[in-house]
Amino acid sequence: MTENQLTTELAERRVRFQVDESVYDLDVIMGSAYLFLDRCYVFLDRVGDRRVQVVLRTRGAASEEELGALAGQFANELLNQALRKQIGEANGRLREYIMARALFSADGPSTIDRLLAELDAEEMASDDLDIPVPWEKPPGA
Amino acid sequence: MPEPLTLRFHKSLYDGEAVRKAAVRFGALGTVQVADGGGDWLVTAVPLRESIRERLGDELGNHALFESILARKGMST
Repeated sequence: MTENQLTTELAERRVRFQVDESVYDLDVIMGSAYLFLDRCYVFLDRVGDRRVQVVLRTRGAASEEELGALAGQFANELLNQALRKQIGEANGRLREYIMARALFSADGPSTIDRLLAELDAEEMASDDLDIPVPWEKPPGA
Repeated sequence: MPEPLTLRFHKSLYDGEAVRKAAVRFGALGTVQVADGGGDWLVTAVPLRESIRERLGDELGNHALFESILARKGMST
């Protein structure tokens, strides 16, 4: 694609255009191609450094308008797939951040610290040996 | 005898195993061979009947792409 628009070449039952991999990476191109496999025949070819040629061939007869529309839909799908990938990556980072915060929270004692504190408290509360200590005697006893 | 059909699949886009799987799958419709053509996988197919020549190339191409996409995602059939 050049000059901000889809440049297509039409032939009988076939539309051909190029995609710049510096704009849409190969995963995005492949993801879009995958969604068109049940609608038409899809052929990819490398026509230059970081340039992929896409050929869409309809299963039956198609007018020039239909072929142009098919190419346009593919271009829209490229944008859609690119956005989905971007959101997936952004959400991935967010998920990692939330997990990190949950595991290594600096806002309070960790789970282990809390459990140790509870154990200490229980031990202090129940002294089974009942050893008398002078500082606990009531005054005058 | 129908004319042979040659398809070229660039190695940076099509997985070799995927192309071979497609060739095996459509082997029932003719004689299909895969060769290493340097930067491309070259598929030569001689269809059983001339009437299916074009369709064989189209379907084989779609299948090779489908398998290649699955291979990229680590989901081979």
